[in-house]
Amino acid sequence: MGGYVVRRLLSLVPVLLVVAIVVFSIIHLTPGDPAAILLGEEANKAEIDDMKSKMGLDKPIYEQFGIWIWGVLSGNLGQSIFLHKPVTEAFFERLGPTLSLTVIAQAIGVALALLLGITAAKRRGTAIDQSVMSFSMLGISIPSFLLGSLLVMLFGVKLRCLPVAGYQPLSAGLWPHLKYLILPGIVLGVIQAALIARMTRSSILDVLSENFMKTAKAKGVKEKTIIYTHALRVSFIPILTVIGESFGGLVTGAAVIETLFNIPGVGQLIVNSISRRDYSVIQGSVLLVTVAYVFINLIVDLLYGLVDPRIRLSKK
Amino acid sequence: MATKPLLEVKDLKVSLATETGTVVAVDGVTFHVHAGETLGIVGESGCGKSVTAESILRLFDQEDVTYSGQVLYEGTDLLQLSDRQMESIRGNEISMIFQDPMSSLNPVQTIGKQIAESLKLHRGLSGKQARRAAVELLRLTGIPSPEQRVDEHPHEISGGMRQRVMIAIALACKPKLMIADEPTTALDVTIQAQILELIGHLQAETGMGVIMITHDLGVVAEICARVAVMYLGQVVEEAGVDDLFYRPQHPYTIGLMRSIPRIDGERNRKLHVIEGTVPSLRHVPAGCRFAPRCKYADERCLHREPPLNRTADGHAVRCWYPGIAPVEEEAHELGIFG
Repeated sequence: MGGYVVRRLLSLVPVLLVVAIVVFSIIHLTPGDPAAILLGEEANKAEIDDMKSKMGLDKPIYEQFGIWIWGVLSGNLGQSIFLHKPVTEAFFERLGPTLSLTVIAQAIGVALALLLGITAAKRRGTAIDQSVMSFSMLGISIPSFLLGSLLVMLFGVKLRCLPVAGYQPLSAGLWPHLKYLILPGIVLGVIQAALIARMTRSSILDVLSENFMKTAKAKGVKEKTIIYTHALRVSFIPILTVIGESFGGLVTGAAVIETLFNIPGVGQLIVNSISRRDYSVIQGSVLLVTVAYVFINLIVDLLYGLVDPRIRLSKK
Repeated sequence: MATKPLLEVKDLKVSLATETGTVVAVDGVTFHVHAGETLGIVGESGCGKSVTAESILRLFDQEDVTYSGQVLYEGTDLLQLSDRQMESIRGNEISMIFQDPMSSLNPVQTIGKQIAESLKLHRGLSGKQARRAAVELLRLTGIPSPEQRVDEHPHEISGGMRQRVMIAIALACKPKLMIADEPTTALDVTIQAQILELIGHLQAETGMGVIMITHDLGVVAEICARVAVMYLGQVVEEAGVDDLFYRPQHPYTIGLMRSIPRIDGERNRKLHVIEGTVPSLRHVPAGCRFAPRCKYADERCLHREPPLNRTADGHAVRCWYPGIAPVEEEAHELGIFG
């Protein structure tokens, strides 16, 4: 197992290199001059050129890339020209809100998805099944900002029981922290649930027709118990894959929802940095986000073996 | 046997809803099993043996199935019980072994857990007690080093072992009746003999009744006391095993026996086959169901369905002309009785 993890981590290197090259190329190919943006509209050409050379932007692009990569390898992702702090510091400040939001959204999403998926599978072909599937179709199709705005209107404006937007860190207390994250958590959770519920339903339906389900029934196990003790675990691999994927998507920043609810998370950081042409922050954040994504996938792969003993990686 | 039978199936009719409509898979089946007795149910694929077996435990999804008739277990009609009451019968009073041990065990649970499940459920054993019991059951079914095996998963053991595990599961609560649905079909011949021997041995020890469902007349001859031959959802002949093998009455039974290859037969002699195939349940022939494949069928057979007639010695046959087909010396020479 240890060997497997090391191999997986090593395979991260080429992935990150490709990501680095692509991100670096894209932002340097987009129009807009960070020096001009930084200095404002009043700056003259001499000032801008001076700023450019200070930022190293007057060097050839491959040299700029070389300097950046060298920094990355020595653990220095650069300095934000706009925030006046190291990129890593800017990133990890924003990671907290994103992680909190992710955990809440994922908890809501998985709980809702399993409930809906299992119910639909048990009642396949009935009106309940169809309404669950229609709900899930709606959840997949609805834009997150629309659902978010609707919820804000209902709970924030009409009922006034939850804040419209904003964020409080956990250090401000559990409830103040949570109350800002409930609405965005529900929005993201419902959208994740829609996808996971579909997978849960089809995966459990596959397992329900397996022979060992009959064995369980012949033992006298209640039908409800059969689903939770026998069917769910066997059908969990595809469900876990979707959960991992959606978790990855959330950690890497739900930019739209973070913007809508004004949550100072990673997604917001990246979006803002793009509009400010804050190169080093964009490059650094995307790189770190990629690392997070790959790590989550690695954890999911390791969990497979835990769920299904037939896929124990250690035996390879 | 004058005592009341353990299980009495009376005029059981099972209709199953399939994607293409409802079929009557079992049509008026009647048989009984006494405690300590082994009843064989034989027939070709699709004759309704397995449906009959699973209907006794009501294993089909409720929305897909309609039962009529009676399944009397110790005098109680299982078809009338609530789901709750039925759950307390399954695995406890009546248990079942399935055909394919490869797919009949949960792949992600340890063997021990799967054996322990019904013990916890019906006997209220704690996790530790149930585990100890599972080890004992594995030992009883002849699995070597049960202390290690108990923590293994089904994919780590062989097919024969898995069927032993299935038997251990079935025996866990000391049921009074065990239904074995083709328990040896998916196994190697040498393992088949071991499994049959094990079932016979355990039956002698516990005095349970066994219903052995099979298409293998050799299995029947080896362990059954009585045999019911099924064809297209009906019992066509039922008799004590010796009686059936020496004096088969129904042309279908005789056909089945003649189609067993003989180890001492002449090499170039053609194997007997019953002409035609089992008709679909959707197109059940009018009259005798076997008539379209029967050499001896006449007008009466094609138009009027024969009843299951029982003679004084308990030999029942559903045929207008019982005994019409020549048995020749076939049955005597089958070599089945060694």
